[in-house]
Amino acid sequence: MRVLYIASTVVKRMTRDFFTLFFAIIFPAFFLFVFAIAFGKSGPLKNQRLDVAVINRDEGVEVNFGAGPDTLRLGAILVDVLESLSYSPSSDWMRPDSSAIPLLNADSLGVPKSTPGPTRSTENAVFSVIDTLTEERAIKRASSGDLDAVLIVPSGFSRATMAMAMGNVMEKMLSGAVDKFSNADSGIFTQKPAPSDIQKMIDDISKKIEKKQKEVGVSLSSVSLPSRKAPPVTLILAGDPSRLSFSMASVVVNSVLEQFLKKVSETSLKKAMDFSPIEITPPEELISLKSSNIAVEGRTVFDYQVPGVIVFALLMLVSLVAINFASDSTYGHLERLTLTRMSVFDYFLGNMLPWALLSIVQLFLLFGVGRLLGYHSKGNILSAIGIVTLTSLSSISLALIVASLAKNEKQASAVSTLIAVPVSFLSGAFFPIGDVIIAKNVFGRPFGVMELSPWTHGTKALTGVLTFGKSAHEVLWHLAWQVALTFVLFLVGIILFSRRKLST
Amino acid sequence: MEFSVVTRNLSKGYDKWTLAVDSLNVWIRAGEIFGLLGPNGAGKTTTIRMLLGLIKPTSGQAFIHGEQIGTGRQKIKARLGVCPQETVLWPELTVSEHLRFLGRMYDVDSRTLRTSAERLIKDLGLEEKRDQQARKLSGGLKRRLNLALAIIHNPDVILLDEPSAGLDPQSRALLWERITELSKDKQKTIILTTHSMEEADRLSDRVGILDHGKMLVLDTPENLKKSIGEGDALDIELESPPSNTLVASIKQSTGVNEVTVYENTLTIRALSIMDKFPKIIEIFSSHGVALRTTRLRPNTLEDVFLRLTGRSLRDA
Repeated sequence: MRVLYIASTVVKRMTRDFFTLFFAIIFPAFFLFVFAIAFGKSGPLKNQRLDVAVINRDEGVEVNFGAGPDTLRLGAILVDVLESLSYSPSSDWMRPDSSAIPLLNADSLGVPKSTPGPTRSTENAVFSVIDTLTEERAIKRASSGDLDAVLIVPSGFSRATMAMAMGNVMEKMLSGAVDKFSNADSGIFTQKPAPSDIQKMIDDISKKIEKKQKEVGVSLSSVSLPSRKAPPVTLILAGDPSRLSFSMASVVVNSVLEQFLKKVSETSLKKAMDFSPIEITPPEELISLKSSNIAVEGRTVFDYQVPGVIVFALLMLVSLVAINFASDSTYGHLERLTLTRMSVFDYFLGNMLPWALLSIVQLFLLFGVGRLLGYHSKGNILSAIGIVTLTSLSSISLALIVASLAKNEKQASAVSTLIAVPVSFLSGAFFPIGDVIIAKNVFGRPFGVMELSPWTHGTKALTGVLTFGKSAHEVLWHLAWQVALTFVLFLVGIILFSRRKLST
Repeated sequence: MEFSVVTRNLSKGYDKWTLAVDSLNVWIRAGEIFGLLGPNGAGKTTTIRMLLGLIKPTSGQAFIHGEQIGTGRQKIKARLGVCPQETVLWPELTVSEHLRFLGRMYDVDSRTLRTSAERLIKDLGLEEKRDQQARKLSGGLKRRLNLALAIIHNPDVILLDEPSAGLDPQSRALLWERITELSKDKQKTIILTTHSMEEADRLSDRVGILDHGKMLVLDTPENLKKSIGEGDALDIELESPPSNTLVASIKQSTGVNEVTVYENTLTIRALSIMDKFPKIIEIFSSHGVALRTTRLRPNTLEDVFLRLTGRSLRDA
């Protein structure tokens, strides 16, 4: 019963102290609000335009599809696609402007530079493309944070892209021919054709192509397709990886490039169909950018940060609990209580219960505020209670250690803040943090330095449960580590506090 | 005779060279108010803290109701009440919440606790403040609440460490009244530490004077005062310290029992000193010494301390 009286006294003190209420409840909620503005659905980052400098060294490739020789400049087209990419008002993420898609249809191939589409929106554009800088100047500006990324399109980009596309065309034509000649009605090729048979087949195709050109009135000699051989090229996207905007730019450019190459290949195939005497299966439906890996069910950066802010709030408890324990010692409360029949067990449990309860209140409050601000949660909040309680015990244990070593509550407050804030960041509460692996195989998994922090496991487990809707079983690894590490911290805290503050 | 508190050669040293309390031997009867008088640093609080078991003695033993402090501390917790020198209150709790909380910590049942809390609130004049948080109470009311917390569980032995320090006269009078009541009406044993001679004199059945950790004397206030001479004392303050010839002349004067000098002040003790006053004034005149102030008073414990240590209690 004494435990409950102590707990109720702590609750009364807690609820009547503005400082405690502010740091435990208002401050984390305010923090969440700031994060929502910065990274959430309603925040400017959603429509943040990324400043990208483009250094285009692509000289294009000579082609002639029968209408006369021309230069196909795919580097310029790629830049144009990026420039036309816009945030979609109807989705939670971004997609290319619809005008970007026809850029690569049969009609536009051979056009050196595209014309902006009629629906292109500059208001919602993802990229602000700057193509007037030198490479040196662009890199310098990116280094100083004035630009989010620098895209360098290398020389030979068009040649390499078209070579790849032509390879696909020939492969398709051959595949179509094989289908044709292996038709059961014709009786030719009952097995996989030998190389000599393929040669015969190619010769036959060539003759038929010549015949087809005569039929459509185009001289085969006037058609000049790009070579299927070209040296490989590498596009470079330079930027500061520590910047979130660069990560975003990198993901979007990669995705656009992948779609671009696919589109060029498939459009080339369509074009080649005009000359093919053989019926070629039309290309599959184009994959829209919306379904690419950058759009994950409307999720925003904020969705990853809500569980982190909850863990941050639990880390703020370290300071509050340490102040509570230290002031009990400084102002003689502890001494006065030790003169009563209260046991050490009563004291610890009576003080820990209210803080653990407060952590659950924090969970509900921050989850609710998060939802109001656009947090997409797939999990059940009730399943997060266990993780939050466990994380609060880690914080209380750390607070006990701090209070044991501090001379007074001011020192306890300062030391707790010094510990809690870096631990919040290093535990990945706000942003994912790269860890230093200290053991390659611990129970079948690599183990990093920050995995020695129970808050790292708390953040991961809470993110898994709340944001990804994982079950407790799926985050068992983190829960197991959290239990073990919290137990160690708790034991150290109890022993230190008992020896330094409770012994005579 | 039953003794509530007994110490045997109780000593405490914080370092190798000095003892804060040096071989303290006291026997305190049940229902007695025992005053520990001494200047700051005399060892009063150290003695109290050893009796409470908050610090371990370097040597010697202390017993409360026969239970040795240290080994039998748990058994006597409920029989001990303490009013610490500094007010120990929880700023956010109200007066009645304080009493309920501390009572619960002593396992007082709810019915008894309710009655005790109400009585204490009334006795200590806290009725109007019962629902006020401690942080909003005045210094005097905080001290009253501090005392209430010491006795909420109805202990047999109450240790009061400088209970009236910093109190206004009204609160002090109320506190003294309650302390007397606890001892005389309720037979509580009270150990009172103070550096106020008046408090020790007025409240204590016996007084022990501590200085530099040693018990210099231990007796009733009356006996202690008598030990320095019968009669009254006349304090005469001069412009400068008196000469030896002046002091000798006064000592030789008929009927003067004792003359002590402390800085510019002479204290003259004699029976029916007012009858001798004209003669004493004449001696001062014959030595050409002007008087600044004169004060007639009975002997006090201050005089006892001055006699024993050569220092004033206020200056020590």
